[in-house]
Amino acid sequence: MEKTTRQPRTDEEIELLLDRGVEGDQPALPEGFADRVRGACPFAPWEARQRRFWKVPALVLGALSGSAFLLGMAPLFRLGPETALRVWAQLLAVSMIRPAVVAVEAAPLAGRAASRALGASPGSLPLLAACAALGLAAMVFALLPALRRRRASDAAAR
Amino acid sequence: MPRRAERGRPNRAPGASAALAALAALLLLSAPPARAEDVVSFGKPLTVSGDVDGSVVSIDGSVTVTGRVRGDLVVLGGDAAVPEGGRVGGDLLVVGGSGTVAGSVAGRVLTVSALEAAFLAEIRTSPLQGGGISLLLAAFRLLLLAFWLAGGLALVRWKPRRIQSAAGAISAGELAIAAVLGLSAVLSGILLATFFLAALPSQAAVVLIGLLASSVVGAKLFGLAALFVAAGRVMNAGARRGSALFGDPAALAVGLLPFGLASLVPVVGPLVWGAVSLLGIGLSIRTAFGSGDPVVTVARA
Repeated sequence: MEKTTRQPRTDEEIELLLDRGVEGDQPALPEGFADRVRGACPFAPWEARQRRFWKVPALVLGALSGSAFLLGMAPLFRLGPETALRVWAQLLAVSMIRPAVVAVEAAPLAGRAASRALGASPGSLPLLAACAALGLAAMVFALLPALRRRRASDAAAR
Repeated sequence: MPRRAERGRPNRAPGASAALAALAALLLLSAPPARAEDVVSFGKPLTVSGDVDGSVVSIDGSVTVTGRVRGDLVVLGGDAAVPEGGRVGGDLLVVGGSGTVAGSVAGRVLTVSALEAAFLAEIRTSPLQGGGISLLLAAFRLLLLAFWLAGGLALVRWKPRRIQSAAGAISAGELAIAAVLGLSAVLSGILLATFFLAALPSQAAVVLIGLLASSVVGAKLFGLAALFVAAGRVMNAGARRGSALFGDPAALAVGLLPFGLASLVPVVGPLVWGAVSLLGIGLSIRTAFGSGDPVVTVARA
């Protein structure tokens, strides 16, 4: 195949090259043209499945969790590795699970308290409901333009 | 050929509004009535020296019970003290303060210190706050950042088109709208949670608030992932195909780092992370979780 280093100058020239390619003749592509086209391709969503794009994320994730582990263990190491690990595990369990348990336990009381607090000032419950409904309606209306655009896009695609 | 393109779904706004109105009406009808024997106090300290037949609820004020409360004692945003001789017939709940009990409490004593610990880690994001450096808290914060990164990467892996669409839609104007939307969403969520607590049986309220909280966390996760991808794309602008920094997964990891590390800085950190979280929630709503058309930027050859 004949190669040339001359750059295609205009869109029309590129169109002509492509036309010739479609017609079956071997076009004279500029050197490195295919590489440049490939290099200019944006990241495609399906490429997220390929392992080669996950080196940096794995590195950052490892650095974050590794430094968390080391920092968390540093004050506990004098207890010995086994005790340190157990304390760290308990600390995590208390931080992550206990709040949810307490929140569920406290909900009935908080509910009664909220009910009585709102009952003490007449009209506050409907006002609260109205504000909450207004906020929710605003969220729904905020979602609508994006959903409409999506529907229009789907319709056009069909 | 059937003309499916013209057969769009009907506009759901009137239906959604009607459903909301019906839900509000239903909840209002089910609201328990306030009782005359309850004592409710707002924003001032309260001392109960006599007998209260109902419950005592204090918001933004401390309560001392030297007498007798037959119902519950609930203190939100204050301290509760039941010194010797004081009696509470029901449960004691203290949120945002401490509870001291030397007298008697017939029911459970719930002080939400564990919940506050979680809030401390999440809201006061700086482990360097208060002067002393807590290695354990710093480790906990880094672990939380790792969780956010892992969640975002999972979205990039399994919902890449949506993340790409949301990240591509970000501009200065869109960020301003997203900030307003995020703030509105959080405020609405708080109002709605309070309403559920006040108007519904507690089990239903817990379930609904759980769903609400999950939605907010989901919106935050998605929005943060999109924001970090957008930031990472700017930071990795020079990366070409073949470079380890090319692509949305790398953009997400690189984009998270400045915000995550900034969240560890005293004073400024919580503000940065709070603002980014609001932006993330708003961005999720604004882009309908990336359901718009994907926006693609082509690199110059």
